[in-house]
Amino acid sequence: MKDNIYINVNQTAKVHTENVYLKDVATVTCTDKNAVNRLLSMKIMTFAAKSQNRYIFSTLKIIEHINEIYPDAPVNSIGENQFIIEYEPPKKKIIIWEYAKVTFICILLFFGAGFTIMSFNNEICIQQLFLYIYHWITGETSGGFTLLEIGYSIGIFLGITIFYNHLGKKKISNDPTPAEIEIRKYETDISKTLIDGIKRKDSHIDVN
Amino acid sequence: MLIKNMVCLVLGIIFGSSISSGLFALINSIKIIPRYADKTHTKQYVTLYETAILVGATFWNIVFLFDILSSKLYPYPLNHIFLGITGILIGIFVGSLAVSLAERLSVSAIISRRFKIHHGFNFTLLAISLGYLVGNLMYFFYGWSS
Repeated sequence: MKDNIYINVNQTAKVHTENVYLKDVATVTCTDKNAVNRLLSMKIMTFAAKSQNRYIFSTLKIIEHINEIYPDAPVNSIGENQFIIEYEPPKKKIIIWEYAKVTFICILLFFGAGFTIMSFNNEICIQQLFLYIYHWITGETSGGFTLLEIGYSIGIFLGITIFYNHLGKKKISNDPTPAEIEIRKYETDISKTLIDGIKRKDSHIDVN
Repeated sequence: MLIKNMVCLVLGIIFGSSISSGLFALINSIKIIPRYADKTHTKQYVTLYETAILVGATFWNIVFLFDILSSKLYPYPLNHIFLGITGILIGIFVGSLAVSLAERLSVSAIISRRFKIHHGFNFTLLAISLGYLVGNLMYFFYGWSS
């Protein structure tokens, strides 16, 4: 076969079986549909050691595997040069444990965010400041419980809602929320660091 | 008088929304939620975590401004248990906040390059957290806050 083979490799691949096939880590296209099917079900590696469940894999190694089957076909890679394969043993998720963790983080953030806003208010002596502002506008002495404080409390709520772009499960606009963006960036950073950092022989699969 | 009070209300809303979006943009930029979600493997719940921050900030701000919670909210022993739990939670949050803030400025990366530290990096991190602990205890024990 002399048709062009195009492969697109993702930066990270998670597998739940010990044998890794090409379809787990990449998408393939070619004018010869039989070749595509044959390549997708090609085994590229096996997780043998129990301790080692993460490998940095070179795309060159995949091209080498493809060339063993189709020596004459040109292979073009349009994805990553190096990628991560992670093996997660198939294990049942304990749903109560997960809910317990989520509840804990929620309580943690509830108190943490509260402490942040209280320490900010305390830092700038906001009650004193509101007395001044109230006196400046109305000319009367504030009792500490005025529309200014009520408005401030509503404003705190509105500001965070607008910033985080959703109220409970209902999104204000279609964009992802800041935490969703941050978590994607965080994951990309982690895989980049792994690929750049780990050059140990036993976890790095490359040609030569 | 009503108009002046309405001005106060509108100003309050403006103050509150600008301060909260600024303050929580800071919290977001130091990536505290992704870290918690990653450590607990609960990435699909990040929007819930944002809601928790929203509810927490709104609730505790009202408590702070209007002195709503009286000091005798719970009977005696429960009071102290609640206090301890609150202290631990706030401590975890502020601790991760402080370290992530330092991390955003690449403090540890710069120090390890300047002083050419290649091994035992875990110990320097342990030293930092122990330093936080000792410093905190001294601060409260000797009453340096006043």
